[in-house]
Amino acid sequence: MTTRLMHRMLLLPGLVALVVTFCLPVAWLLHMSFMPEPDSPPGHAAISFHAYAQVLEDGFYWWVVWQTVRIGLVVTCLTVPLSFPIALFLSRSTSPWRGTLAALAVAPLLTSTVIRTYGWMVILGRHGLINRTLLGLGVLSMPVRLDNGTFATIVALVEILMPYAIISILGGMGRLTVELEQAAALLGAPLWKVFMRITVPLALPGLLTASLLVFVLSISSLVTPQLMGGGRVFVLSTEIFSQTTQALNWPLAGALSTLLLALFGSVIVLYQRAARRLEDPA
Amino acid sequence: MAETIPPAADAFLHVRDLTKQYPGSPRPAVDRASFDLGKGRMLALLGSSGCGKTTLLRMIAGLVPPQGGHVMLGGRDMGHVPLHQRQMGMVFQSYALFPHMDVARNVGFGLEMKGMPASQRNAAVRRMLELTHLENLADRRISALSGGQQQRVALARALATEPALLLLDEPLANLDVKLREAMRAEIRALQKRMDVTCLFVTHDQDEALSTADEIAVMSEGVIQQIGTPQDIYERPANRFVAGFIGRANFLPALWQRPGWAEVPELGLLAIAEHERWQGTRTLMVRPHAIRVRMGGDMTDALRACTGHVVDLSYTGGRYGCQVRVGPYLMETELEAGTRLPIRGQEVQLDWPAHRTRVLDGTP
Ligand SMILES: Nc1ncnc2c1ncn2[C@@H]1O[C@H](COP(=O)(O)OP(=O)(O)OP(=O)(O)O)[C@@H](O)[C@H]1O
Ligand SMILES: [Mg+2]
Repeated sequence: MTTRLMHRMLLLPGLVALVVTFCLPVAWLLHMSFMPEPDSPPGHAAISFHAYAQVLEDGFYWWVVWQTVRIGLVVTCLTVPLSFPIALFLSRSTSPWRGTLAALAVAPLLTSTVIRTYGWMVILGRHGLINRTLLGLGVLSMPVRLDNGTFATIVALVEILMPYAIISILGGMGRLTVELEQAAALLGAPLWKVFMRITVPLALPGLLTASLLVFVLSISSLVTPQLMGGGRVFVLSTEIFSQTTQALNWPLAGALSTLLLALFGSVIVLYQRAARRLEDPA
Repeated sequence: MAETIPPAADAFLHVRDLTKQYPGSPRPAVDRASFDLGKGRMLALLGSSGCGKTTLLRMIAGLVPPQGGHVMLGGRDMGHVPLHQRQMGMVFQSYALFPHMDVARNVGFGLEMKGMPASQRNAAVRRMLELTHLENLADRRISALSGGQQQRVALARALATEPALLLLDEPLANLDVKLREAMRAEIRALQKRMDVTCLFVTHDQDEALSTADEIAVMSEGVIQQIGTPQDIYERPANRFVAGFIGRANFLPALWQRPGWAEVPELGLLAIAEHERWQGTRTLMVRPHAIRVRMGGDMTDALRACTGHVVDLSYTGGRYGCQVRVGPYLMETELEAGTRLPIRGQEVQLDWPAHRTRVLDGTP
């Protein structure tokens, strides 16, 4: 009895931190989203669904949600397959450089997203590395526009999120051993069958976690779509940002944030369903 | 380099000069291992931990690239044959069962890779499961099996494709004594029934002696001797093999005259007439070859050596009896139920000359 009480007491500091830093702000956000229009007369109504009505009625916001999900899916579908071989290599390597290589793979996390995004602007810009090289080689006669758009946003997001994907894939490969692949090969499986029947299924928990993480991080990213999009990429986060800083329509920003939260929630529910199915295939 | 010896006429598995040195290691893990194995025979690779057994087995399987030498199976050089075409079944020390498949799918995996249609495959899987007494566990998950059951699944999976060569890496190491003995008999019966050539790694000499047709004793990467269990036990090639297999007494000896050798501080001992050498060599006698006599009827004082009982210990069915003879401590054996000496009692030891084996080197 007392030990159980003690165990619960141990939860207390974390619980307090969670309430203060997460629950309270979210509650505040919800509260704000139900506030009346900013320019309506004061004392009009305590609770108003105006912001939500505005979101649901305006086709633009539907399009923004679709755009957000689409970029998230594309980024996920590129990042996870690109990170998988790197994670496999790192988990297999017996070289003394393995530690260094693993550190290098996650080293980009040491620099801020802003700096890395600017790095991509330098590479993709109108007078950037790629355009100058292609012009110099005579492949192009006019610079092509690579920056300021969805393409640039996706490229930068993929690169920025790869370290996260690599770490989570590595963490979820516990059941995959070289011996299992060798056993399959000796049983007559050619390389690609070993990969499809043994490597991928056993790495699936890691791949799934990586997909969740990358998707969530990409739909919630602000700096990259803002800077790489050049004002042409509209996603939920950029919309929330402009509503809070420029339009000063906080109820609308609150409603959009709630929408984003709901999106997170449904993705996490999907992930948990898939994870449970993985654990218990029956 | 010495010219390679051609394979024996009846060799099915032919291994020549396989060598592997891991990077950063001062000596090869396996050094020029060579042997031939006839079709349907079972060879035990016996040696202490770290002597290179697994490395040799993995080189034969193609999992570790050798630095020298070659492997031929059924007359075919396996040098460039990819893993999935080698037709070798392997039971890994860790079993390496696929955790995301049930028992039946594990066992059927090899047949599925061969492209066998599902109906035929199911029948073959059922037959394998029956042979290994697993028919009730067909749709169990691997994590829900006991160690012995997992071991049988691994065996069934390796045998299902009817491989030309079966490789077993200490498959019984994780099992308790009773189960180990039962599984040993089961593996042997299956191997004979399916007439599959088999190589198994073990560090348990009883397992090797009782199960295999032939034994290769390894030490520090070198195959010390290869032969039938009787050969290895009765006629060990060197001091290492004699000491590794079974218990033995070793005495230093100088050749004296035909039929006689002199053991320092002990006197003359009878040996086989044809033995002849220079300098000091080692005489080996197995404990059970020695007769222990009590009560001074010194009929043949010359052949016997006299000593005092130091220790007597019961080992189930028989007694181990240590006797100090001069500076030497001799291990002997006494049947339970015979008259037993007491500690400190004077006894005479003797044994037939042909049970004394002369080995190179000093003890
Ligand atoms: N991948 C490796 N890299 C470096 N050295 C290795 C490697 N694998 C094995 N060795 C070394 O090679 C030697 C032989 O190893 P091996 O695994 O063949 O021994 P073993 O006879 O199977 O031993 P055990 O009975 O303990 O399984 C050992 O000294 C071991 O430390
Ligand atoms: Mg081993």
